Amino acid sequence: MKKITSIYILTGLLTIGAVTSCKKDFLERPPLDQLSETTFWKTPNDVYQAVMAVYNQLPGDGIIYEDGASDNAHAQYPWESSATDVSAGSLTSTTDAGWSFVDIRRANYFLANADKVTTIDAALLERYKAEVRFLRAMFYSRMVNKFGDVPLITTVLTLGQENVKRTPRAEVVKFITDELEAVSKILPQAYAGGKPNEKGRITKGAALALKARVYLNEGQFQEAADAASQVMTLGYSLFKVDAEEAIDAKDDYSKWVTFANAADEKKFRLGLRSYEALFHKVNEGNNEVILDRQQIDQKDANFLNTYLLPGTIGGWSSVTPTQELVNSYGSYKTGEAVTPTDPAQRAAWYIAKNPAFANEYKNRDPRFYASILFEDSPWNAVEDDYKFNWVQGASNMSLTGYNFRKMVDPAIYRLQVDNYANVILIRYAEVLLTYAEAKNETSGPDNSVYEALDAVRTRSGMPAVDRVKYAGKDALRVVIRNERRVELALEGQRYMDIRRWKIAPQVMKTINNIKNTQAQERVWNDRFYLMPVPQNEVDLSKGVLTQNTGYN
Amino acid sequence: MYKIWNPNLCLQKRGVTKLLLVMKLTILLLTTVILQVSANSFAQKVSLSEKNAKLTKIFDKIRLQTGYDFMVTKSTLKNAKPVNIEVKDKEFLDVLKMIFADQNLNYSFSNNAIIVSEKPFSPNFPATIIKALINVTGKVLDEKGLGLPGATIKIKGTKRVDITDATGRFNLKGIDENAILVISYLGYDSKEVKADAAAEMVITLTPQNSSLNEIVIVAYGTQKKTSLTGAIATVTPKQLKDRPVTSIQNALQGISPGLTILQRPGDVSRDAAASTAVSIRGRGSLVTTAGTGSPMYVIDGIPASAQEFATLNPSDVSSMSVLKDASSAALYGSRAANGVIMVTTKRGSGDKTTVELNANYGWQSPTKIAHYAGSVDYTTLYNEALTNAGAAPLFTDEQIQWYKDGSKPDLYPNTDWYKEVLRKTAPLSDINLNINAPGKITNSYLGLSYLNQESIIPNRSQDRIVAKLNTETTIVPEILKVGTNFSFINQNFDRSGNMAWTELNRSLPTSVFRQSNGEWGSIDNGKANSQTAGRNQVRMIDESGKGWDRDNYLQTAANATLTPINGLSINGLVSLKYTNGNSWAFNNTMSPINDFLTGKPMASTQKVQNDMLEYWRKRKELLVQGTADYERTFGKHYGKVTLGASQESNMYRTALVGRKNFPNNDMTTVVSGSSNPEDMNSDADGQANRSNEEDWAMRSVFGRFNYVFNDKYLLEVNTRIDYSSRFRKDVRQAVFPSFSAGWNISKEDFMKNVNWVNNLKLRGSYGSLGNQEVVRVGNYYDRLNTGYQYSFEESPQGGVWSDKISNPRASWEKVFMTNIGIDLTLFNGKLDITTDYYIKDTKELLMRVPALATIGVNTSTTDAVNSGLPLSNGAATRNKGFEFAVNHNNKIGDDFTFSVGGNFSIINSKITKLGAGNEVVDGKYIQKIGESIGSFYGYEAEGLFVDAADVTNHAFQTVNTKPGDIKFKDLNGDKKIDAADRKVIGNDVPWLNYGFNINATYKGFDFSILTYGVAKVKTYLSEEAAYPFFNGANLKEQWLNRWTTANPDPNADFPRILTTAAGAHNYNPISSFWLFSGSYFRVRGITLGYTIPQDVSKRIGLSKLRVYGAANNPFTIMGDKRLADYDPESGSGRGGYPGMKTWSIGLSAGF
Repeated sequence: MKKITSIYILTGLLTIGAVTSCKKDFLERPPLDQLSETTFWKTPNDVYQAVMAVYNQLPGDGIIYEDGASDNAHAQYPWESSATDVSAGSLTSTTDAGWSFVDIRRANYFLANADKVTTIDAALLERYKAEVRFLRAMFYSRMVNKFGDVPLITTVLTLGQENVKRTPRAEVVKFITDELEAVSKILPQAYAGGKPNEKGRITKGAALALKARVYLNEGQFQEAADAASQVMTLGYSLFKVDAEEAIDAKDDYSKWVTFANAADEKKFRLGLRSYEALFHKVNEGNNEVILDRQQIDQKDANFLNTYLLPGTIGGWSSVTPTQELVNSYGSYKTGEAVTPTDPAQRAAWYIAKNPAFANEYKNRDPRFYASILFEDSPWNAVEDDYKFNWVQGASNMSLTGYNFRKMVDPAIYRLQVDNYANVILIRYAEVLLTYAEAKNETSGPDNSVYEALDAVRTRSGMPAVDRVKYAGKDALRVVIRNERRVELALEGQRYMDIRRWKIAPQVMKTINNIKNTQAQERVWNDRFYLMPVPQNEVDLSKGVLTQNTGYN
Repeated sequence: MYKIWNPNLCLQKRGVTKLLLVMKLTILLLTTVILQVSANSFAQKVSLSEKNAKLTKIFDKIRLQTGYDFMVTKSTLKNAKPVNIEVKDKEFLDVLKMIFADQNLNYSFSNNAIIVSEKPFSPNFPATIIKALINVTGKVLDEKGLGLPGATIKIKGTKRVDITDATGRFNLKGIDENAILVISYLGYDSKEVKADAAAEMVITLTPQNSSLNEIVIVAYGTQKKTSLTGAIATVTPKQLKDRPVTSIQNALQGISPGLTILQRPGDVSRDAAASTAVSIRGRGSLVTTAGTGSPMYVIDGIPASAQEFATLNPSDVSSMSVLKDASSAALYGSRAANGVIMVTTKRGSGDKTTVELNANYGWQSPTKIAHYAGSVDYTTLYNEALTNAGAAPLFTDEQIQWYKDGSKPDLYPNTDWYKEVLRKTAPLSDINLNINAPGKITNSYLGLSYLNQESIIPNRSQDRIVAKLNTETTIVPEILKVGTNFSFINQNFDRSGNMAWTELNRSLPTSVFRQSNGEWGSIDNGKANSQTAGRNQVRMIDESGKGWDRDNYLQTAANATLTPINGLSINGLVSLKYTNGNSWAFNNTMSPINDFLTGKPMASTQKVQNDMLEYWRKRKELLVQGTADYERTFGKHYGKVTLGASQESNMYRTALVGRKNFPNNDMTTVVSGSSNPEDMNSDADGQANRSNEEDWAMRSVFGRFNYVFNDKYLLEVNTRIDYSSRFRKDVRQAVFPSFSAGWNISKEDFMKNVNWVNNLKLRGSYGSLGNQEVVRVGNYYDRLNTGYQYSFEESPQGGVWSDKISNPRASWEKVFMTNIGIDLTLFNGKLDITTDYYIKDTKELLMRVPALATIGVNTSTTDAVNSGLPLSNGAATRNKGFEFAVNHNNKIGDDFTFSVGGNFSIINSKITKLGAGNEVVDGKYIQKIGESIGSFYGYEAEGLFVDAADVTNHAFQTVNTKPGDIKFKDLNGDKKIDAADRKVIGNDVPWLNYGFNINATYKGFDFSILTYGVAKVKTYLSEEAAYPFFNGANLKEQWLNRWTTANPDPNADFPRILTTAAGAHNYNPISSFWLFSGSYFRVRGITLGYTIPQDVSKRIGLSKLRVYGAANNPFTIMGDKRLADYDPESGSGRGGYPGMKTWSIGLSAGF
């Protein structure tokens, strides 16, 4: 019996002990793989890392879809972006063209908390904040471009506060430009390099250049010209190469261009290479770059090589040039616009494999050869003896007959990894063209306007603008606009350009391929000047958010 | 025929042999059915018309009419008198009485024979075996005290058998005074009693099959089935024994309405649980994350994962209970909102050691598989799609002709990629061995099983070893018992290459699979194409790499039961589970495919970098639990109290390592890869070289009180209080009470005379349950995200950000369930009916309250991983359901027994509260007050536009609308189709679930069939599943029946064909056009088995041998013909591993 009693006691103790003998905080289980806000915002490194998370929201390779939504290019896959619907005119009030405040919240979150850190150098903190304020201004400029009036939110909203009215466009623009003006006075012109002053961070130049862009988009030409001319004093220059790579030298352009002499050929070839190599990894951070999205090998690459190349060499042909873009490249010989071949004639020649088909592609702007893959165009850099040939129909092939080669990095393509060249978001050539346009619009052509235009043209080997022929403001406007289209093709500017110039109704027309059959049916409606606020947002706001005109 | 035999065994050897032979034959043929035969045959009618007939002649006639042989010796009959008899259709027993009335003979039943002997019994036996003989009378009663006519009375150890008369009485003369009577009757438990001549014996039999005396497992204990008040479905050991099943899911299948088991025997994978979806009483939660909506599993009293349940071997299972209502599940409180499935495994029982071996081998093949168009259809329809979009045809007539005649297979092939890539069938084998060893002090049970399953994707297989050892040791007899459970699961999954279904589905018939020179295909539609060449999934399987998963689960548990005084038992349980998983994947470098036309390598088909990823996972779960039970009976009152407490903690830690650039493709460990920083490999989740951990813990106390009065009135009260680490301190506690009551109407006096009702019980319960699974660990902390964000100067930088808004007050979801049920057993257990009606109110349901995008986080209300919105307790749903199950057991003739069952359940679900709002539209779904969960929201399709006039006359849709497009109904009549014209168009939750099952045995044969069906449910198919040429893919053959200009049928199966890139089509707007009826009726399983007669199997040393063939999902009837390639139980139609059917053969042997 004693034994049994002891078993009772033992078992009882064990049971009671097991159930009750536990740590005091047994039920307190903080997340072990995530930081908690209560322990963050202490050290300078905390601030450094929080800034990184805002930089993360910078746009990148997605800018090509902005051109896909314009007359420059065809974005063929509706699941990749809203550009397919926008260009086709099939967008409805439920289309979401980017109504998002995620990036803005990240910036606001940083700005609301950064001051908690007291151990950081005050000037450095101020600079960090200026960088983030720039980023927030940039995020807002994207929203204004797409939607016009947008709720202007500068604090971290808690749930329940988010039903905010749309702020009038002018007010948002004023906020953006005021912020850019303010941060341009804080940000350095350049960075020394090394943590935390790495090259690639937001500079004074970026703030001013973005300000110029925003003003230009709003039609405030005087302010745009002023901001641009400020940038022009900061020491940026257009990128140029003075020699060709060996692999590039193998490209035979004598079939395409009638060179006057060896010097002419050199001018052509270096012009082409200067323009093309500007976007390549090896020339990252060159003196033309004002802001670029940083990319690194494997860890954080862009998909431009994949999006742009044809399926035959492993790409998707996601965004491909239109015939209209091809037509806009002027004559290498005269610098003037060319008359494109009649579409029916082009198709007939193409189908019949008539050599006359190639004539259209001869003696064009070097940027044409640097930007567009057209039938039989050579490109040894991407593959030995490569010549582009359009394969129609099969998956991942262009529907227009052309592919882009601009912004593709053939050297990285050969390494079989994704393109990790930085994506340029603002470069000096744009500033020059902004200046030229804004100045021309405010006070008509003057030397500074021609100089800005010529700088851009001659870098690529094109002749200077005929100052006699284009002496008038209106005549020069045509040149400037085409120059902007050609120089900045695929860089995301065309979407706003055709809107602010009010030419979208004329240019957003059904596009055909080189066989003159339809590549994409397009219709234009004036409501497309602005994108719709997604209908579910309008509904959810119970009338606080208004819809843009034409989408009801 | 009658047998003449001589009782003088010593003298007539020949007779002995003959007798033995006769007996042997009789036993051989009839042993298995003795009792049934004798019981039933008394009801036979006999007609005789004889005058002065010899008794032997009468015997012959009776034999012809009844099949009974008479066993009699010549000497016995020497004094027999001739018989005069004239009967018509008279009871056999009565006839016998008449025949023997004047004879000096006795008769008795033995097997299928009637033994005739002299009266009184011969006194000529040797003195040594003479014993005192007695005469015994008595009656056999059923559970209600009514006489049981035809019950068999056997005298143990002899061949002597009698049966009761019409009033249940028997009269045995001249039997041994120590004789043991074995009384049996079909449907009742046999009973052994000592013969007693002193008074009339009264023997009451208890029904066996009505399962009234079954002990069922309930939360933290067991209960008699008669005293249950909750809605509990059970699978008894007997059922498991009678209905051999090959999987644990099949064992549950069809046992109870409201229990839905969708088997998706998908691809082999490390997650066996993923292939089966179990749900009890429908969906309640609005948020769907992994694990929500699935019931809680409890194996041997220990909460278990769906994975552990799915890998259970059915032969290791002793019994199962499904707790459906709040009252029965209440003691599992916070995790029982979706019901509980409890399993106990065997732990050694019976009176001797048994060894059983089961093995089966099967062939899996797809139930339904996509049929993609061949080259001719593809090219022709592609041209049509282009023409429809206003573009020019792409494929020339000449090319289509080449596809047609197959004259240029190197350029214009017709490749059936499904055929090239997939296997037609894949084997599946399963073998298990179990040893059941009862012992004086320790009982033990050992179960071992091995499963090997291959995939229809080549070179992909898994094998699994499960070992289970249970013991039960008596330390102090009657007072202390200690038990242990060990189980070990080792699961290996191996694959070669990376087969991607989306890539396979995009492969075109116009792409060459292999060129005639033996190289991989490089040509698509006559031209080299590195995209299509690189897509070749056979090459991907052969060359792109390999991977494996190794998972081990170890569970150790010990329990002790102490019974210090009668009625009190104290139980303790400690369980430690340890899971260790390891996954590895290597992606090879690959050499390029050569261009067939130029012979040059196609650079982008090359892969120049190899890489490796390796995951480590470890989980530790510790459970400590103690309960105490005290039960007492005072007169007609019975009471039982259960009190308990438990504590659980769970730790889950994972790590990932990986690198790129290994010297060759044969490396197996990460260390041999490049150590450059940029060669650190990563997965979609972030970077390699990381570890993560997630911990949670729970503490609970609970109690139950049962009260029964006079076996008629039952009452039960339960309460559980839970504390979970998932919630902040102030909202951590939750109390889950429940009540239930039952009334055994059949025990009432007024039912005494209603013979055909064996059991009638009315049950009712109300209670609350909780759900904590929806809330993620660490919910109430303001968490910040960390990880790679940006880089400067080629150096990657981590960042910190906040993209989730927290709601520290998020708390338990609560389920309030009312259940009313009736259990009915009729006709001695031949008919069983169970029916339940319930209302399941889920309140304080966690939902993401829709917020405007201006809040600045991902505002999806359904994407649990990415949404930045917090969960808050804002919504409520109400499920109402009706469940009905009926079972009929019977036999026809002597050898044919069968049971037929049917059940259905109707579920009606409604959202009753949605935070502050009325509706949330999310993609194609809407959550709306008054509507069911899972409602589709969109336009109502009215067929297709016939012609241009039709388009013009109809409300304006878009500028692109053309004849052949889907016509949407203008609901508000404003002559334009816009968001205001949308409505609820269907629902993806089946309203009706039903099933039938049949089990039958005939002699050694057994047969069972299980079916399952759902009705009134819709499926929405889009993208690859429904659209042609989606993202460059092929199209399915169903599209051949589409709208065309030649046949502008407004009711064609599909609209005018367009490529998805042509923005003009209106496939994308959510409309009822793409809603397909998801109703189906499926034969879930068929088994046909044959048990070799025991004397044959004994000869080869087996106590039992059964061979069988089985089929899983062999036939399906679909409600919608357009769903030609869609298995109704596969989650989505977007194209993935198809649903599987299995045909298998197997054997089970006992030693």
